[in-house]
Order: sequence, then structure tokens, then C-alpha cells
Amino acid sequence: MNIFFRELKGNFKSLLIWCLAQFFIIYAGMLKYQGFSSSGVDINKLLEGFPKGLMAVFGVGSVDVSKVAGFYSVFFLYFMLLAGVHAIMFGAVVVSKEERDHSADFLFSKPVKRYQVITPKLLVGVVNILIFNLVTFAASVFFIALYNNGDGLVDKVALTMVALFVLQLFFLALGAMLGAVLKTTKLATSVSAFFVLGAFFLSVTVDLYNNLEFLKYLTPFKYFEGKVLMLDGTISLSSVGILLVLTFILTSLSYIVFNQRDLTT
Amino acid sequence: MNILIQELKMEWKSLVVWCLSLIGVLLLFMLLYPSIANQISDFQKIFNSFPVEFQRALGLTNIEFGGVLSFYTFALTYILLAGAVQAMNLGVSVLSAEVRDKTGDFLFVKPVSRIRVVSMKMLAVLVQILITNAVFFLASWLILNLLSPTSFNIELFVLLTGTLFFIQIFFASFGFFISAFLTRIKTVLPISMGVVFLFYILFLLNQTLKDVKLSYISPFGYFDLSQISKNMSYDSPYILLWGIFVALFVYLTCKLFIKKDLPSI
Amino acid sequence: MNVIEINQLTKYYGKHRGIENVSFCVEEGEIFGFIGPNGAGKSTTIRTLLSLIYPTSGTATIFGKDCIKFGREIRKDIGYLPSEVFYYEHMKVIDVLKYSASFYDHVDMTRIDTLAETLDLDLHKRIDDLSSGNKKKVGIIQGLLHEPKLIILDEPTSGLDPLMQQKFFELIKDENKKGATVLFSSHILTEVQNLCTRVAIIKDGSIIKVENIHDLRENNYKKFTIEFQGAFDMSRFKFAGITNLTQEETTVHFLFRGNINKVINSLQGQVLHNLLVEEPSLEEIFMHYYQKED
Repeated sequence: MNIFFRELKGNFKSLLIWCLAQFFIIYAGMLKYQGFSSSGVDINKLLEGFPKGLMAVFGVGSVDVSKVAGFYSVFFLYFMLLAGVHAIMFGAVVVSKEERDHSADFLFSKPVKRYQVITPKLLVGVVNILIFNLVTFAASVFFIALYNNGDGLVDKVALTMVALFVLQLFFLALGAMLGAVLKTTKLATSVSAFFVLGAFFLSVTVDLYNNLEFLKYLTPFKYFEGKVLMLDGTISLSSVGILLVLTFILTSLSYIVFNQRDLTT
Repeated sequence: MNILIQELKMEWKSLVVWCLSLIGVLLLFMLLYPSIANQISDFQKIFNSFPVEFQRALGLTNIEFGGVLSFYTFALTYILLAGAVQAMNLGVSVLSAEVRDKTGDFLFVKPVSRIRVVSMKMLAVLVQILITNAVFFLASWLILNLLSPTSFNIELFVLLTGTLFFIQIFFASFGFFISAFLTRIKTVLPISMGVVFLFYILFLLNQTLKDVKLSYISPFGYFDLSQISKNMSYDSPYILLWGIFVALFVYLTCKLFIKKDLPSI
Repeated sequence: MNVIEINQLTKYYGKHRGIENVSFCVEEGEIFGFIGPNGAGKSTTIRTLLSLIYPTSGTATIFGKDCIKFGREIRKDIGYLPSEVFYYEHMKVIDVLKYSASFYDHVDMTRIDTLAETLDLDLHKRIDDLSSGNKKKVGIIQGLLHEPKLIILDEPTSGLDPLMQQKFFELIKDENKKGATVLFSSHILTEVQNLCTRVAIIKDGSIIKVENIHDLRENNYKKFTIEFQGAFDMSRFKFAGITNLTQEETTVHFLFRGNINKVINSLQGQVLHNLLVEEPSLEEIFMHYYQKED
């Protein structure tokens, strides 16, 4: 428990900043909705004749963005991006930071097993991403309600948040695995950044080009779609399943690798 | 000069990786161009039938469709994102390196003034950004020439590609400022990724609906690629704002850093 | 001439005290000891001298120049060895040393090899492959390489084995003979005792005393150990000049400063088993200073 609380305390400030950034994005986004909905153009009709590839190029999905749910569903990509960066960086840093801070000798010479150090650290990661998720949830419902006659679309937003949380867990585990496998924090965060940016660019490519559809399994940003979550109110259970299994595998790998790691001073 | 050379020596590997990554991303997108090229004229027809307010709502007024450059514009958006991460990373890390690696007691007891250390390090970042831009410019010019059967507007190409330099300078100087402002930075990437993605998402939000106020917040909005295509020049108020911000960040960084107490080991 | 002059130097870290009104001078050509327990303010003083941190108030000059205003100029002639050394981890030893040398004019590069040989250091290893003792050797070489006029050592011997410590002290003495002034901060008193001519004692951020090592030890204090035969009267020793009085069964220890006849007189009529009058070690004087303050 001591490790748990120390990590929790140490990460409080950065969590606060991340949450504020997220809050600001939702606020700014929904503020824009107000102006957007008043233009009163039936977008669905306009988009019918569009070639699919090109819609993605100009950031127009087949979503009615003049409805609040549709507009909000566009946010989902941004949430995934920001939450993904947060979670993967957290995982990569939390596992490797003792060596970076030259405190590994201190901590691991205590009568604790390696897993007893990793477990509370990862739990703090889960708490952090959960708080990030809940702040996103609360801010979303609040601002949607503001522009939707008081209806916050709680159940649909909640479903979206479940999808977001599964993604966050995956990114956290991926980060932790990289932190355990790679030699230094710097390397772990660099490779993490590479993964997030790569996955994002890949998802754009898949949007762009139908023939590359099969590549969508390679990028976590394509596992859930904002419009399915927000408009249909359904979540892809197979995506949840795959991501949870991957999370489990990555977490196990982190434990195994970290257990055999030579700690540097 | 020795500090400059030392910085470049330590950073050249990651510089190579970044240059290759930027070119890789460009290649990823541009290789899709031939298959999409024939759809573009269709898009142009449909788009012209849109009501003006909707065109404006999408921020796509007066976009010149057709030709390899319109597609290049799209790909460049993502290059700018990656380039911003690179530059921000350089900016944050270069001045915080002495604190992170605890080499302050080495460097700052040498007979060099603080201001010289700061300016040499800034110069090192500038050199790296210049190299990145030169390499990227050549590579993109080559790629475009290979992919486009017809010639394209060189002047516009230069203007568009030049935005990478401006964006990078902005984020690098912002990175300087952050590193002079925060006392103990331990890991650079979570900070730079977080900040860049925040600005990027704000910019994406703004793309969904043109809003002048919001476009001042995100530097990505200072160099609106579609506006540049239309006017064949940068927008002077934004350029001015860019200059003011960069100058301010650099000035404040020097001022803060010279007066800064270096934490002991 | 004074190489270092520190005048009422004060440094606060926010509300926390670093040092308060520290004043002392280091003369040209001497090896000056700077002793005090952990957290007393030794490093704060030194880091201010090097303008790594800025004083809250007070001034310090080195070679007669203000150490903040003329920091760059002054540092040309300073060699500094911190207690813990960190270098660019991916560099080779030789590259760190060359980089270090590149900051100074006219560095005799052959000294790298001679110093490395003396200290038994492999120049072609990477920094992150070195043990902490070997890193320290890199620190010693880069501190002495440019033949500085002022050498500042902040608890320099940690991590060095006794043999290396000896070699290190020889190096410092050689540099001193060639004319270098040395400011030597330490909490290990025997080191200071063997090396220094004068010493400043710092405690809780303030200088308690600046004294000649010789005076500190010889002229002031005698260490008495008296073993009595049978019972004796402790109250005999309650007079001015006696400090650190302790008793173990029939033996009494104390430090005494003043007219020695007073002690002899107090022993009249007692049967003694044994009597020892010694020079106290610096350690004991040092403890004495700390206890007096408590």
C-alpha cells in the first residue's frame, strides 16, 4: 500500500493537468456545436454522393454532425488520442522510473518481491485512467445537457466511456510492457510515442483507402467507432474481447520480463 | 562552438530517426494518391454544389481540388503533427538535459556564461530543425515529382512545405519556455506529446467549424493550409503573432534560465 | 592576498535556510578545510561560489572579482570536484575529458594520460559502464586537467578506496605546491587534519569558527584521561576550562583549555592509577563545538 500511495501522490499534479486539458477540449468542442447546429443544413443528404475515401480526407464522416450525438461522436477520436497518449506514457514511465531516478537500489533492496512493486504501480495507473475517464464522462454529460435541452445522453455517453476505458487499459498495458522490456525510460517513452503516432496515422490511412481495410485490426484507434457508440448505442463486443485479451497478455509479459530484468543503478 | 557540436553529436541519431519517420509518413499517404487521384474530380463537382455556408462550416471554402498538391496538403497536416512533437521534444529536452542527467555540476562550472550555454543550445535546436526541413523538403519534392504525371505549382509547394519550419520553430521555442519554467523535468516525451496533441485536437475541433477566436489558440491554425493555397501567401496577422510568441518565449527563457538556481544532485 | 572572500553570504531556498551570514577568507596558496555535518551548508556555500545558485544576500569574491558578475571569467581558473559525479552517460571517458578541456584555453592534453595512469583509469570505457569510484576518477581528472589556480573539492573522497584516496591527496598536494589554492569541504576530519592549514567549521548554516588547524589542536585543548585508584570525587572537576567530561567507573575523560596547573592542583591528595595528557584529535574538538551549541 505504501508504494500505491506514494505513486498516487506523485502523479496527482500531472493527472490534474491532463484532466483539465480534457475538460477544456470538451468545453471548446461543445461551444462550437452551438454555432454549428444553428446553420441548419441537412448534411446527410449532401454526403450521400460522396466517395468514401474522400470524406475521410476532409474529416467528414457519414455522421449527422448537426445533431448533438453526431457532433459528440466526432470527439471520440480526440478522446482516444489524448487518453491513449496519457495511458501509454503513464505505463512506460511508471514501470521504468525507479532506474531513471536512481532509486531502484533503494526500492528493490526492501523486503518486497518485484511483483509487489509492479502491482501497486499498475493499480495507480488504473486509478489514474479511471479518473481521467470519469472526468471525461462528467464533462461530456454536463456540456451535452447544456446544448440538448437538459438531456445529457447519459447511457450513450457511458457506453462510449466503457469503450474508451478498454482502450486506456490496453494502452496502459502496452506502455508498461515497453517500460519493462526497454532499457531506459527515455527509450520506452520514445517507442511509446512511435506506437501512438503510428497507430493514429495508420487509422487515417485505413479511412482513406478501402483496400487497406484489413489493416484496421492493427490500429487500436479503429476498434471502436464514435458513431456506432453514440448513435446506435451498441459496442463491439469482439473489439472489447480482443483488447482485453491483449491487455492481459501485455500485462503478463510486463510481469515476466520485469521479474528477470537486471536493474541498473 | 564546443557546446553546439556536443549537442549535435548527442542528438544526431534521433535526428536521423525523426527525418526518416517524417518521410515515411509522407510516403505512406502519398503512395495512396494515384488510386485516389481519379476520384478527386468527382469530389470537386459535388462539392461545388454545396451551399456556401456548409463549405465554410467545413473550413473548405475555395480549396483547389485536383493536382497532387491538394493531396499533399492533406498529408502535410499529419507531417506537421509529427514535426511538432519532434520540435517540442527538442525544445523541452535541450535545456532540461543538465537537470535530468545531473550534469549541471559539470557544464555550469566551466568558464562559460549561462547566456552562452542557452544560446548555443538553442542554436543546436535550430540547426536540427533546419536539417529536418531541408531533408524533408528534398524528399517531398522528389516524391511529388515521381507521383505526379503533370507539373505542379512550385511556389505553392514551397509555401506549404515551409509551414513545417514555422510550426517547428514555434513548438521548439514553447518547449524552451516550458523547460525554463518547470524546475525539475524528469521525462520529456509525456510533456511534449501531451502539449502537442492538445493543440492539435483544438486545431481539429476548429477545422470542423471555422472560428477565428479558437484559431488564435492553436499554432496549427496559424498556418491554414487551405488559406495558403488560396492566397498563395501566409496570413500576415498570424505570422506576426507567430513572431511575437517565438520572440517572447525565447526572451523569457533566457531571462528565467539565467536567474535559475541549479538543483544539486 | 585572499583568493576567496566571502562576506555575509546568505541563501534561502524559499523558506528553508541554506546558509546565513557566512563570512570567511581563503588565502592564496593554502589548503583550506571546510568542515561540518551533513546539511550544514557546505555545498550551498560552494555552489554559490560557482554561481550555480544565486545568493539571497551577501557577496563573495574569487581572485578579487565578484563571483556572480564575473562568474565566467573566474571559472577559467577553477577546478571543481563534486561529491557525486554525473557525466553524459553515452560518452566515452576520453570524450568527456576532451569536451571538458574544450572549455579552457591552452590545456596540456598530455596530462590526461599521466593523470589517468596515476589513477589507473581506462579512458576508452563508456561512462555508464564505470563504477562510481571510477566515475570519481573522471571527475578528478576533469577538475585538475586545466591546472586551475583554485581547486574546490566538495566531499571528494566518497567512493574512492583508501589507496586511491592516498593518491588523490598526493595529487592535491602536488597541485598545491605548484601554487594552487584549495578549498576542501569534508565531514571526514582526519582528511582535513592531514591536509589543511586552516579550517572553517560550519553548523546549521552558520560559521562557528575559523581557525588554524595547529591552534585548534595544540594550543587550545589537552585531552586528559585519569584513572583513579578506588573512589574519587567528581565535583573536583567542575571548574572553568573543562568540557566533554565523562566518567567510566574509575576513569575520567575531559578536554581542558587554560592553565594546566589548575588540573594538577585539583588532583592533590588523590591516588592515581594512570594519567594520560594528549593532543585531542580534530574529531573530539569538532564534537566539542557541536555539543556546545546544543
